Amino acid sequence: MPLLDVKDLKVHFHTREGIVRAVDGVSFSLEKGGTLGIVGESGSGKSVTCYSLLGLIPMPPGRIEGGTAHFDGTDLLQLGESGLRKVRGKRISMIFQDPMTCLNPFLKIKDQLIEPLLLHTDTNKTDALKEAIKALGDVGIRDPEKTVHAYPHEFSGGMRQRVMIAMALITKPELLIADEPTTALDVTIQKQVLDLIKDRQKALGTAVIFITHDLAVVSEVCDHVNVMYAGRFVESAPTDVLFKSPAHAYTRALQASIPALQEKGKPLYTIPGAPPNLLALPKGCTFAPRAAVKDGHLDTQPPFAEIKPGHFAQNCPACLKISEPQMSKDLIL
Amino acid sequence: MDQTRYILSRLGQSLLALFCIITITFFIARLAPGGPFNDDKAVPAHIQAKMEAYYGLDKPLPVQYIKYIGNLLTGDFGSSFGNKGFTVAEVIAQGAPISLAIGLGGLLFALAIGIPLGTLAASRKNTKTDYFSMSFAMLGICIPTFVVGPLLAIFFGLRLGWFNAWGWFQPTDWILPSLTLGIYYGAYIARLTRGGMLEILGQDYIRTARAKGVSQFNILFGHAFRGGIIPVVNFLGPALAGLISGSFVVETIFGLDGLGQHFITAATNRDYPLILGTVFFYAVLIITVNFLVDLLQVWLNPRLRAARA
Amino acid sequence: MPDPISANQVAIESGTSLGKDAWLRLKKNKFAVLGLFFFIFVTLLCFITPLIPGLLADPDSTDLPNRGLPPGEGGFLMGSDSLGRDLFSRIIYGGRVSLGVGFLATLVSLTIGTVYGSVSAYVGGRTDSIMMRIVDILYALPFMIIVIILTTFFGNELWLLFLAIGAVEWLTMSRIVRGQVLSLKKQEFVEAARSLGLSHANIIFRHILPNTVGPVIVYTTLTVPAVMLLESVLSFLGLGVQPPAASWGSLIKEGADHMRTSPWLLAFPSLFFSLSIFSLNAVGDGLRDALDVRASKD
Repeated sequence: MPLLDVKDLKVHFHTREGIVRAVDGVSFSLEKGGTLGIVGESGSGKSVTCYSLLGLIPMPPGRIEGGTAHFDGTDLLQLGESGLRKVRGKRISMIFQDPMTCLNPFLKIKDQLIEPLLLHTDTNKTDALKEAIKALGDVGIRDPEKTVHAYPHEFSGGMRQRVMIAMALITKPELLIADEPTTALDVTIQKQVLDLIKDRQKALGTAVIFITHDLAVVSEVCDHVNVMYAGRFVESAPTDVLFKSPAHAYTRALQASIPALQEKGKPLYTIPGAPPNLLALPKGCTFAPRAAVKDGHLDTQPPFAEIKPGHFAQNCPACLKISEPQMSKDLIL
Repeated sequence: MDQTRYILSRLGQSLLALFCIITITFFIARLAPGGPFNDDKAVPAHIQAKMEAYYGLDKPLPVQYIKYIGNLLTGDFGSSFGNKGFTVAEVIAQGAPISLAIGLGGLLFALAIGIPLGTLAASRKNTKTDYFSMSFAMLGICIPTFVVGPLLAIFFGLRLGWFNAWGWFQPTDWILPSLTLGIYYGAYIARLTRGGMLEILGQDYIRTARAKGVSQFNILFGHAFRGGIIPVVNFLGPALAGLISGSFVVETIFGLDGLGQHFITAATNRDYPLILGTVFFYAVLIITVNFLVDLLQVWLNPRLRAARA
Repeated sequence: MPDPISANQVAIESGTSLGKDAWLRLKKNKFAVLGLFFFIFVTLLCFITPLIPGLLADPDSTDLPNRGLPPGEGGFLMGSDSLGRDLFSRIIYGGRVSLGVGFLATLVSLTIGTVYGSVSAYVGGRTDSIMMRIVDILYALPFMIIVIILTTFFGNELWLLFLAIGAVEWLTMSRIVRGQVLSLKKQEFVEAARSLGLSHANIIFRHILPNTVGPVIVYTTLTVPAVMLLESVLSFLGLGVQPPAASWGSLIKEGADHMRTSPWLLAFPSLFFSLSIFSLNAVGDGLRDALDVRASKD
């Protein structure tokens, strides 16, 4: 039995302008200790997917319209606020994008670090403080006996993200959801933080979901990747398969826009256009307006099908057409 | 070390402000047409001159000013013209306790009404509870104290007979005047609290707390409150100034013999020493409170603490 | 949640201009729209009806036999006061004073605050911090005291009243304008204007101030009721307009004195006053939300 099994999750936001279908029928599963990546541009619904599992989207306007999300046998979507509270921070933890704003500036590091322990375990304050100091040491913060008494503003961004990681893992959760954990950090720090998450994952046996727009991050840490576009998965495959033979046009475009993989001296490739307006999605294939191949897109929602064993993609013939020569010519503008 | 320097420089600023207030008041009062002894009582000219000489009002203004400041430095506020036989210090000592009692009571009511109401509204944003609380707060702001006061006096004083509608006789007589002030400032504080709390509740670190499994109650009071009430703390200085002017009105409504009444009488009667004395008293009060508020702000906000240390 | 918001932004960006968008948002706020219409109605009522001859009774003509009549009796729409004067007519004329003081004093505070705030922000540096420190100090002063001293000593001149109130109420405005100018100063079109060799005054008045209009409108809307409240307090204390002239504040005072025998004398002026303040605050709040304006302290 997988640790987390999400089936046909639908999350919509009912705004004044209309219904925003932020997540529209998404399924994935994750084994104990496994690492899953969810990749997409901002606005693709990847964060909402994970936040909704823990009931962290604002409701209203958000509403979970359907689906199940079984975590170790119980459906998270049916748990309700008080049931979810026992899961949050105890069995499933999160770290977020911007460490500068995610720690409470009014509270000392120690108070924020020991809070999950005090909430979810029988640990008393003295022992919790000892664990907090150890956790800070584990994430590579020097002099933890002293720094634990500091306020967040006394830390750099990278240090704060380490504190966030220590805080998320202090209860030894079974699942860690990392929402763009390196995006706001300096490039030199990014690698350190990724290594730290991998390292802690190995030590604690935690499963991790990486939400990111950066395929490079995924290639480095994930076993399996889901590519998300306009509220739906367009491709899902083991990491090496996805990188070696990307099937969907969007995945290929994303790959083409990794700067390190592009030819030197040429202008960097970017995907033309912007993500579609979720209030008024195109009827059929949602990627059609931005695809290099213009003809032959489906007018109805393309099915998410297994195109090769273990390799799923949104089955729109035009998007799946491998057209390497045109791609490099059209895409590298 | 730097902390001490900060406090000292604030103290210096305060003294400077105090000096300016006294000087401005002195010259506004004295340069205005008219005087204490030439009103409608038609005092013969030679008696008027004698009285002015007695109080030193015949000397050139700068001389009077220097003499007044000199006396002030020795703690001598002079004698009241209007309250014969009383020194200014005595008049203030009689009126100030009443004004302070209703002012402090008003502040307590305001905080006790405003902070819970604002927090409740913020935690139930865009629900009926929110709209109801904020409509109530809006009413509190729009109905002036001089309408609320008489209504409270009629209802609780005359209809129900719980309190005196007038005067300062019983130990409970501060309640209605304070409530009158408290409703107005409580409404204001409710709006400030709601705004401050909403600002904080929208921050990323509140999401972090929720992701940790913290309950709504603990998010409100453990994580958001300290930051959320900063606007209220910032408002305490201006609120005090407002409570003082509010006390003028409330003392009139409830017939209280407080400092506000003394001040207005002094102003209408050109009772220079009493005017200056009350202004001095108010200014010291306000400057002290503002200084304390400053310290409170620094204590509440670790980033400010770091910046000032 | 970043995702739905970005979807909204797409919708907004592709659609309307900022001003139009603000108006659309304001229109959705029923309180604000209602407030706006009510306030316009009251203003027109107070300033137009006295111009039509024969419509209103003389607010100052006494009619002792008909004193203290309840509303509707003896031809008095809202009753008569203790001297037999027509309350409705007195409310209309009193409204002219209250609203007039509100508008004029706001204009004074607007002028002082805008000039002070923009100069402080534009010059910047030490001057800025000293100027703002002064505002901080002034903020905490009991200005009511100064206003009382001014009005009692220099007579109850109406122009002095609004000058004094206006001089008190400019502080918030100066902070708003300063915050706005500070953020504008850093933008490129100001840099461009400077590189073209325009004078400082020219840059401030032609290029920066027009861009502060939104927040200034919001706080002007909120200053008018604050000023009207101050005036009413003074009138209530007998330090504002002098009898037989009236303002809503002095009418409320008279009403409070007779509230047990003639409650309508308190009820009607209070209603006019409170509803006007309420509607202005609703409009101001609505505008603030629609234009997304905030007072910045630093």
